[in-house]
Amino acid sequence: MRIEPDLSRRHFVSSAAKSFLGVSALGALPGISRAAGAGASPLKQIATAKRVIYLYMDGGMSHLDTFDPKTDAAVMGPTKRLDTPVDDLKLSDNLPLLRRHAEKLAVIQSMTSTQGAHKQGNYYMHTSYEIRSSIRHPAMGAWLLKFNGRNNPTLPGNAVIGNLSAHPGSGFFEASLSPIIIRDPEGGLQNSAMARGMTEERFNFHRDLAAKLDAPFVEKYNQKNVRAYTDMYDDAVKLMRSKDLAAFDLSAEPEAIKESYGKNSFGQGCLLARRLLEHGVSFVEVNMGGWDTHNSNFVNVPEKAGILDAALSTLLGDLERRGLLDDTLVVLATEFGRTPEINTNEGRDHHPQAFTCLLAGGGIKGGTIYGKTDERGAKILENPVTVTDFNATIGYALGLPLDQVLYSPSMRPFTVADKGKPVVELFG
Amino acid sequence: MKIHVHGIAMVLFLTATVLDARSAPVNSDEAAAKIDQLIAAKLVENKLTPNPVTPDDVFVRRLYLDLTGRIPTKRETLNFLESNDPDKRAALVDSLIGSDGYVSHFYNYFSNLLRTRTSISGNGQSVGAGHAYEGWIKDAIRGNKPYDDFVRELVTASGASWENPATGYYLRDYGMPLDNLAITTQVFLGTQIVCAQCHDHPFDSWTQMDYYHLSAFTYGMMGTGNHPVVQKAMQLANGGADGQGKGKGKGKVKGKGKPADTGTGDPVMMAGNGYTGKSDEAALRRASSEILFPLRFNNILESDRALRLPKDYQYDDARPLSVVNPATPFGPEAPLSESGHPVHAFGDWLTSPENPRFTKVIVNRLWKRAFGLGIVEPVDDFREHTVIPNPELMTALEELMISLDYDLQAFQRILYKTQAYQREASLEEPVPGAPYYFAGPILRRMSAEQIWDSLVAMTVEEPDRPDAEREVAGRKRHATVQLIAESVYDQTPAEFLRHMREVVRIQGELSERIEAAQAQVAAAREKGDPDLIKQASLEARKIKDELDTRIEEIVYRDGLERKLAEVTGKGQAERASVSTREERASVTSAGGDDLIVELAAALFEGDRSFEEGMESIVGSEGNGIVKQLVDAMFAERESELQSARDARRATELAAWKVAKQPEVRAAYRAFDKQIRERMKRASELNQPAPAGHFLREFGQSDRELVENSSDEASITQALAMLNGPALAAVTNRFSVLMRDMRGEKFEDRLDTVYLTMLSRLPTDGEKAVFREAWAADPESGTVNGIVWTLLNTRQFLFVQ
Repeated sequence: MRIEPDLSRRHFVSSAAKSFLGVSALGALPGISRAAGAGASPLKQIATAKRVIYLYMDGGMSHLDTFDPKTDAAVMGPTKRLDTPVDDLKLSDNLPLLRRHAEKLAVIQSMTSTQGAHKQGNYYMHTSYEIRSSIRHPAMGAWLLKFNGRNNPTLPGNAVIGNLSAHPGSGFFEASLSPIIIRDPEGGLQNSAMARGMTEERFNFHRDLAAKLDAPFVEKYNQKNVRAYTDMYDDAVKLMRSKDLAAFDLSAEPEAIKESYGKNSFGQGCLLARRLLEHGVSFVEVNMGGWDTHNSNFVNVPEKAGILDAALSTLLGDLERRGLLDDTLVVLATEFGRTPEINTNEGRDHHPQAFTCLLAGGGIKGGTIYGKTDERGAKILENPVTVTDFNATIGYALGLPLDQVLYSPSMRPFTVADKGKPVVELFG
Repeated sequence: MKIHVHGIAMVLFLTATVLDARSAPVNSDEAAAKIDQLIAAKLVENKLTPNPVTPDDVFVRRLYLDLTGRIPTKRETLNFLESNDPDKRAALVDSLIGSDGYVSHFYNYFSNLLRTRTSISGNGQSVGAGHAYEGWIKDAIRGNKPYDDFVRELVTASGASWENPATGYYLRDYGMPLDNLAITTQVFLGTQIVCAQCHDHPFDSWTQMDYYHLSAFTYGMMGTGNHPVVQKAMQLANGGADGQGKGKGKGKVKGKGKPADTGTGDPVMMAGNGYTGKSDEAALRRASSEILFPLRFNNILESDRALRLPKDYQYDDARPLSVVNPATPFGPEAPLSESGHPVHAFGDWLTSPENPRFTKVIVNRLWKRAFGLGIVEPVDDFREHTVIPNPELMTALEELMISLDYDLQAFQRILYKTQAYQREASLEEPVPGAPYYFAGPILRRMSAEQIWDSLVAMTVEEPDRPDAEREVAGRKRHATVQLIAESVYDQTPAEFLRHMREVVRIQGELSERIEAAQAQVAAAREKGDPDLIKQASLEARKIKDELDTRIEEIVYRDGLERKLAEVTGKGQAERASVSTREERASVTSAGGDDLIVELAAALFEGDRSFEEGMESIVGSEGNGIVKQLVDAMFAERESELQSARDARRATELAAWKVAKQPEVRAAYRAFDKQIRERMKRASELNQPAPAGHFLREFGQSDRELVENSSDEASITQALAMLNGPALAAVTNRFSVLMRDMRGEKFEDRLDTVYLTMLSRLPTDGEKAVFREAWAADPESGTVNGIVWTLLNTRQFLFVQ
């Protein structure tokens, strides 16, 4: 095994001294982001997307009742098929609004995963690696920041919105690449406003006082982590006063647009995601749970899909109007699909063999259907796309060097998307 | 078996020196003096001088943080500072080790190491098991279980989680036996072999074959949610002959029998495994998985499944997919016994004083806890060529640990009484990779738990007291799972089949109602009314709940009735005779099942029959019997807790002079709720705290990786301290700190805040700074202002 000489464990340890929102994420690892420059990899292309909105359907979205509907009533139950402006693309009747955006979508109907359980499947989709007890792999947002750095020095480069149980975050990369977690999109950035009763004047007064009292200690222990806390306090105050904090404030949006995204956590999360991207955040994931429809699939999917339909169609239109869609990649992903068989609880079970994911914007050729499943949506007939292929496609759109090996602190070698092959046919 | 050369060398080294320690009696003072001597020698050799001894105020803060996980209270600090006892430092060490605070803090340490989670695996089924595992670890710490026994019991734990809570160790890596072995070697042998899971280790001498040989010891330890009775009932359904007799082995899913399933052990509901579709068999399978669902992630089976090499095994010494036998890679061999599972041979080998790394790793870890840095770093990556900067010290500590018979409390009493520990923290930070010779401990940022627990200590009385309410809640959760297991595991295949069919029938019935809800969805869509769709979805959820309830009614009720008869005796009179607490104990000791006896006591109270008891407890509402039975069983304990709570409140209202005005009472109630639910020791909260919680912001481990906690600075930490709710709790008018300051003048308040937060009085310089500030802005002398200011100093966050 070849070891990159400048990637010792010590490098990782020392570069981790500043956590996320730190001032110096870029260049924290000299030799990596530089080496990742143009020409470093034959698989690297010019980026077609600068940023990503990654919509994750937690629980396993039924492909049949959304983006790969069939005609067989025994498979479909009460779900119907609708035509779209794209000839061969049919959507289920759970997604009436998205029909209007069919020409923006690349629908990959031949997704396939090796993981049939939620935790494993979710982790695999996020990281391209199988879950292990001994290592945490970085999610795509952290890979992007690792290679390209942050755009806005006061804001995190990477955010996850929604109530998710676990996220691999920055994995074995430094903590500064971790996503900021926003559970409630309408709650803003936690603790970023002064506590009730505190005034600007008093705040400054006490901060000066604290600094004065602390001076002997800070002088005595002139150590890295002590200094880091001094810096972090300065950065925190800078952030509190930053114009960019407005990115988290949904009250700045007109009521009509909030309505249009949907007055629910996912809809507002998509709106917040758009605002964060506009302020320079590179990768925002919005999470929607409830897709694990073992029971009452045909009651639960319409509810979930209704929320998705409103939020995604509004998001696509909004990004387009703002001129952001051309270089913003919109991803819709899930851990697996669901069975064509309808079980005794009127539900569908896990089906990793074949399912659907979407890409749009960011250089993707819209109105594309890629891959094909059989008449029951059970098996893939052509052009299978593995989870690593799918992630490689995202990486390809972002211009990331897909074959560049980075090492974990334990010196194990990893690449973005674990050697998946990008589906280059999807790019216009 | 393959023995590495370095392995032999270590064994020889050990037999010559360390093992001789086994019979030697230990004199603590001499042992501490020897450690100091060995450190002094190294310092002299490297032309270094030791740091000065800490003043008392620095010492008391550090010792409380290191041993109890929080800053001392003002009273505790003053008691220590004002004492004239020349041995007061040693006395304080002795009094803190073994205290409730010590249990809490050491639990946090093991929790970080063992990656404990309150919900160990799955979707809540293992929450009871998680509580029990947490309790088991705390009990081991409290009872000072010898470390070798502690580890052996963890790595050999099998059975149901309520029989053996240490099964949490394997439940944590459910379905991932190879990963679990890598964790075991990392945690207990300080050895990273995970690379060798897929290929020979590139920087150490481990081969992939070593990894598989070692894994073969523990590979049989298998998580399972299934039970042999399912298999037999299915055979019966398919016209098989094996319909007679009970489910195998008293249903405890223990012993060496071949498990009912051979995969990960779970009827995971995915396609391709026969659990889908509407055929009779598939419907029965689904029914069984519905019945057994609450029991998943609660059983570890000692199975004899064989470990095979991977299909892409690339070396010449064996063929892919060939079976691998257990063998140790270093140290002595681990002979397998005829009767026992290989895991027991492994447990003995792992925890033997003759294992060349076992003792080294634990003494190095405990050293790091005291001094902030291991003698060898990193503590979990010992390699063949690892150089120990002070090998004499390491050997002495190993000898000490062995002669103390792995008594961790005795060992730590010695460590914390050394002069070396009592020195000031080094001014310069150690250089990563360079040896450090311990002129003193190093400066450390408090762990997330220490910061949080210190805030708790400023807020509540008796901050170390274990949370009895949490304990009972955990036990109830676990009792729910156990009751279901007791009712299911002893069913005969015929009974179980009948129950599966019944569940299939109910599912069919309910699916008609789901179809009605579907029709409602269709109508709602016509109208374009999303609220109606939401309603339909709520209705569907209700239908699913009803299914669960009816399963309880049918399946579990039957099973419980029979189980009760079995445990409490056949006759009605005998059943009734166990209605008192004393008699419960006697029946239990006579071999009955504790939980079932308690159930009997609740049900048969006052000589009533099973039916009468059920009628009285459960009624005919059909709300699900298990929860109500468990509530009845725990009613007495819960009412005791309620009384204790009421008594405490009454005392507080009087002692704290809480005025009668409604707004004051409301504020008291809000504070009471806050301290009961939120401002609790980190060890008494669910593990880990959710993302975004104060503990997580300050680096509490997410418990995914071994020792995944962090002490790095982040802006969200600064934001939490500047603007977050921490200040509000500490400066609540009922907090300990605020009540201490009632009626105090400014200068006295300043003393109190300093003594509470920094365990010392303010210096003249600090007083001058405050006085000057106060003159400029009288408001800055408010308690909030002082506390806010000190919370946001580095001094508060760091342990000197």
